[in-house]
Amino acid sequence: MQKHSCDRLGQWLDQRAGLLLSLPALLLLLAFVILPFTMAVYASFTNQSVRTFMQPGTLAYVGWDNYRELLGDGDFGQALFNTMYFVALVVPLQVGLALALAVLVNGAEMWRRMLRISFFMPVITSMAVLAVVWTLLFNPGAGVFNTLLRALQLSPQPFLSSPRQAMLCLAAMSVWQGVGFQMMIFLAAMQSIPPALYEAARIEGAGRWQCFRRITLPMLKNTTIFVVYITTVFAFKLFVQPHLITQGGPRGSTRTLILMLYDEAFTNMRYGKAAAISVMFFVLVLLVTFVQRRLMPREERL
Amino acid sequence: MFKFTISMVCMAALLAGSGGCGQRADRSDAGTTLVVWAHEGQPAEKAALQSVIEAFNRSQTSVAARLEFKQEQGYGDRVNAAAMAGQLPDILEVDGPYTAHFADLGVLQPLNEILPPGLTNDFLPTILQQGSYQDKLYTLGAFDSTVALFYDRARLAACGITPPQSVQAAWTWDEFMAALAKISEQYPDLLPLETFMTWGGEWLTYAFLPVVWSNGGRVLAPDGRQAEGYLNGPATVAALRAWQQLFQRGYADPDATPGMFQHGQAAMALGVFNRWPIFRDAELDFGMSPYPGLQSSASPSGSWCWGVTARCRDTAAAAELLQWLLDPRQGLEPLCRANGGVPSRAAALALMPDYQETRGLFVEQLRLTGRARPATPRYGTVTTEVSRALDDIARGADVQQTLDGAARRIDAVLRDAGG
Repeated sequence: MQKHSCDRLGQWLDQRAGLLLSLPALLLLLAFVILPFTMAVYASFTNQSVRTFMQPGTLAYVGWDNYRELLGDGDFGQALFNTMYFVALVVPLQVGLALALAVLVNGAEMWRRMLRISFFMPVITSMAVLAVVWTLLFNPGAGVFNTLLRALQLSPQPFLSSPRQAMLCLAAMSVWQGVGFQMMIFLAAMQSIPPALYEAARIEGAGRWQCFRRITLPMLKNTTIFVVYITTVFAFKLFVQPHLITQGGPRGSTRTLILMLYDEAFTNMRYGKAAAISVMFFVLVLLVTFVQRRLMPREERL
Repeated sequence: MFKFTISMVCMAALLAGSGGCGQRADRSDAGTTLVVWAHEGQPAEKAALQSVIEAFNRSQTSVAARLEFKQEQGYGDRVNAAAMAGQLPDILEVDGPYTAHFADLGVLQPLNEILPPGLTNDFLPTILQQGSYQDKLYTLGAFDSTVALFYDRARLAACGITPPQSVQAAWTWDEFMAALAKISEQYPDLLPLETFMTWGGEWLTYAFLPVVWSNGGRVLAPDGRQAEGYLNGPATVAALRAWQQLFQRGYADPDATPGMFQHGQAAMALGVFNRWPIFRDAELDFGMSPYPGLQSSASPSGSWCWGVTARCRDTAAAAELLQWLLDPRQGLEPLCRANGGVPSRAAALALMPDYQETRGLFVEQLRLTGRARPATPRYGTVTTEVSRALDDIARGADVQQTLDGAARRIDAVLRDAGG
């Protein structure tokens, strides 16, 4: 009798092992992602604001008003453009540079450790500190970059104070800051490529470029797909750099969707409208990921 | 899925429960304990407030004040969150221009019935203006602030310029621009005017709205419900076009690193009151002139101030503590000596003859031309939009177009807040 019930318990556990093992993660996901997001979708159809919290009875359903207001004024369009512009600049640059750096670091036997540290350092440095440093570097008057340009007899640039250049500056700074992370992923993947492949290729007479083109790149395919995805999602979430460095200016040229969301929620205290932005943002990232999946080659089992 | 829902509800209940036990004041047999929230200022300022509160606690036995410092960064957000969670203290320090915001939300209760009548008689008019919203007084500050035109005596004398010393004789905008022109001609390598533009944010709103006011312009309609036609109205636009000339003609630089005047690299500076000890310690030979204006004169004002929250039950105890904090000898003098602020009451100034002697201009300016920033429940939105607009204008943006955009954005928020 005893043995029988043990068997049944074992059987029951076996059948549900997957569910049980993923339960802790699922619960956390539910509590901190799915539930808040569901609440945000609900909030986006209300006039929720600091007032509705403090004065019960003022909360009202407003239908699509928040969305209509967003699509109606030019600010959302500008923020959308700014965000897409940043993504378009950063994703190819950061992924390409990360790959190049990984190749460089991987090849340099002696300096590998030092190079790895120096490229990874900005990733673990606080963005608040970097923001202050880069603001000084970009200063149009006394900044390092313009001092260099003047020394080279080139004309100084307005950098962050120009609506045309500000986003470029933020993109350059962000690539520099984040590239070490993607580089580490590429590096790890490169080091797991069996050396036998390269040896065989060399015996067959392949040069360095051919080895890279025919072995390294194909073997990194899955890693590259992963890196492109996460870089894209990180880039869409651009917030800290413009929040700290340009406050969205000059002339709104660095106001991103997340910065707009932050302003709406914490400056204007219109949580309903902020929630509408977050829903739109979610849909946008979903769409872009979808398109990416269609355009990019599928991941393969190696 | 059902079980998930149950556990979620339990978790939510747990979270809500653990947050619920507040540190609220209540009157027990031993007397009342008042929880006081203050922003964490400079070390000297913090220590001074600490000892003012300690002295209060020693002075009597019926009321005990418990002081809690909160970081200045995000102070307002913290108070908003506390208000929504029902965890407000009894006595709350507020950044002056946010008085209307907290009054509108019902965070603060009017002081009119709490404080003895006549207490406010000798306060600076700017402090009373800052503390009022819809004809009721919600906050009172121990000190005020303003901005003066600091100048390098030797260099201005070399240019043959004598800046006015009294508020009545303040420079008109034309005189101001003429002086700047002379300076930039005489000293081409010197920055004629330091404006601390890179501080950004609230500084821009605070320091430069007087230019708008001095031309009869406004940010919001008198009833505070609309920016359209005011922030982008002709008087404001004309004033900011004149202000933009400071940057267009190279008299001021929106990217100058702060500290130029202090290091002798600028001839004048539109500096806030607490630059005074810095310039003195730098052993500069400097003078002070009142804030210049267009059609008339106006000058910045405002600082942190005290209010009583709606959750405070024992208003008699709150009144006792506020009167101590605002007492010329017990509160104002030590606090103002610590942070260099302008004492908010004439009685305190009488106790500080040295202040009157060295910085009498601040007091005179606040009395005669000082003006509080707009009282609106959405001050955060207004100041964000105004400061961004000013920054863009300083960098050469079209004034009308910039202000049109700011007014439209402010109005969208004000409409929503209108209740």
